[in-house]
Amino acid sequence: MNKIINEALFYKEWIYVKWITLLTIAILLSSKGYGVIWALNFKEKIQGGVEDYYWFNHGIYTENVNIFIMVFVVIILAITLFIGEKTSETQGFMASMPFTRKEILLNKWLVGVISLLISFAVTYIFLSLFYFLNIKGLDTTLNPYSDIIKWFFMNTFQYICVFTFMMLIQAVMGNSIVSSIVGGIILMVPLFIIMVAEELTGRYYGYTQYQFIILNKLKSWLNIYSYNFPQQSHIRVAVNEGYSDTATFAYYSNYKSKLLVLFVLTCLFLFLAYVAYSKRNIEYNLRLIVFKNLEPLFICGVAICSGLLAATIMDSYRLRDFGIWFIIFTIIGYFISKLLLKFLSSTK
Amino acid sequence: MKWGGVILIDIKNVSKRIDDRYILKNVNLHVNKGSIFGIIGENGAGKTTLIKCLTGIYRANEGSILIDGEEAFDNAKIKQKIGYVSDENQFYSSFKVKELLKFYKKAYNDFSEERFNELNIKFKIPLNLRVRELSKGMKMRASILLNLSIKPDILILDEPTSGLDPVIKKEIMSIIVDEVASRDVTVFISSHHLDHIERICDNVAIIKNGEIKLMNSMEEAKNSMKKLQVVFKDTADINKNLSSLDGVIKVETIGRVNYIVTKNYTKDFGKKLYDMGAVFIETIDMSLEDMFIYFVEEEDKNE
Repeated sequence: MNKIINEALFYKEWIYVKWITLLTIAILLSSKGYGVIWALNFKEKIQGGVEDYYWFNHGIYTENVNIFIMVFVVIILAITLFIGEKTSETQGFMASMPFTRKEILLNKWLVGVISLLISFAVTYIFLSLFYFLNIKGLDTTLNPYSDIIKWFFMNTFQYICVFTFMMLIQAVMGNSIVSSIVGGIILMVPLFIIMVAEELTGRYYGYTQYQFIILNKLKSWLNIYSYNFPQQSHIRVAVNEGYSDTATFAYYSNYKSKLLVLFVLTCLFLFLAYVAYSKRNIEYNLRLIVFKNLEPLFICGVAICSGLLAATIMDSYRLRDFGIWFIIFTIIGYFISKLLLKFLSSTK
Repeated sequence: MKWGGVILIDIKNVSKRIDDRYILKNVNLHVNKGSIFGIIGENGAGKTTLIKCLTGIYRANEGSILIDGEEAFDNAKIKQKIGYVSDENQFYSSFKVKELLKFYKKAYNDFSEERFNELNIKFKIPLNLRVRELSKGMKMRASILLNLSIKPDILILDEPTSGLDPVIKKEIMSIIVDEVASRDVTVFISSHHLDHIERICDNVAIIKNGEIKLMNSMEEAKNSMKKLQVVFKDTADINKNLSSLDGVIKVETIGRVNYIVTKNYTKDFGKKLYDMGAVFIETIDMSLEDMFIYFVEEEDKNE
């Protein structure tokens, strides 16, 4: 481990990242802490109601706007780690110092991962304390402690995976702010394409249950951002003697498989980030796309996504009109991407 | 060209291309251990690119750069021995000087805090200030201070005196010479202050359009490039005849006096002038700055 962790690099990265860690802790505590406290208060207000049984489960799994804020936090984390190397004055500094590229990249990744782990661990400890302090009013069968563990693993795995993907994009692209925004969008692209395909096939060939199930499955697997969105299930619970009602509880579907996918993707993204970072030439650091041979991919990606997005927004019921809008905006997107490459690249 | 001694920096056939443009073309240089090597050239000649290849910031497209027998690029072991002072501030602006100090201490095995404190008595860098709060000269001083404190075997300096006042400029040059004398440090320096290069360098190279046009020891360079004041008995067609002599870069005539600049000065050259009817010859030593200006003019003429 000592060979992987370089004390100097770790120190240098941590100077900035410690502030992001504090921000992440504040966001997570305000989200999950508030979630469980609110659930406890709500439970006390409707004593005897059906919500009573799963209040902690709901407190943990109910997601709010903070789930999107967390994506921004990860984006900021990646920007913070790379911005110094992508500024004309400071870009050569690290390269002239006694570190290999492998060490530089791995330590950036480690600092980012540790920052996320610390933030989730602090929240985990808070949730555990809260759980045990309120255990008297808690049905531990319906609200098992494993809910906290599952929440911890699902979220750390997911955000580490997203962060590693941002690292990959940072290694491939120049401008650190644009890189992270593009990275954030790229992760949404597979979901967007499936949604367009679903809409088009449904509109022209009709909706079948079979098709609906398959596309839904595809959507849930292709959208990494949604891995930590819990599923809800309904269950009949006895309220009073002779009476029963429907209660809902939340859970992560395909929990273990998703963790495995996130783990595999993290390893893959990290490996690709390492390859890209090792091959990267510092003199092209300030370009939008550092590797010339990846520029066509960027141009095609922007053009096709612009075409699909515009055609969907125009939402013509006829396939021919969809095609026309698609072609027009793909051409516009092509020129926009060319302009982006020109204006967001700097030679100094 | 090689000189005696152990070669510490060995640059062989190095070319560097950015986009489709060659910034360095087939550069060959050798620097001996314990010597001071100066590289001079116009703006955009390729000095900084060469230095960035040497420090492992840039990857050379062709050729090899060996430092102490090993490739410098992505080699942490070799970089432990190199101190590099860039021509512009390269430190993160929000870092405090004391944080930079801590970072260097952790990064370099041989970093000496004692040496840092000792040098900082002269450099006077406040440790609690952030880099962005330092003046241009102070940033340069901080960079030199930190890089001298790592006790480098090789010190690579890209315009180290830019932005410095004359007193500190002189102080830095004397510290560099002391380092070479006391620790046998090898110095590779690029500067537009040719008087500094002339004063401290053992060897010098001139780079133009990415190519090394001249590489010599300072002594040989000064011995071979001379300015002569010559008076001829018969001045008819003399200017044309002088220009056709081998090695003559420039001929100027003011009244009866001809000023000749040659890059291949030998005793034979004087003999040739007497054979052409010279009645008076005076040889004038040239400063490096004059040599550089004449050399560049000659190269421009030949292009």
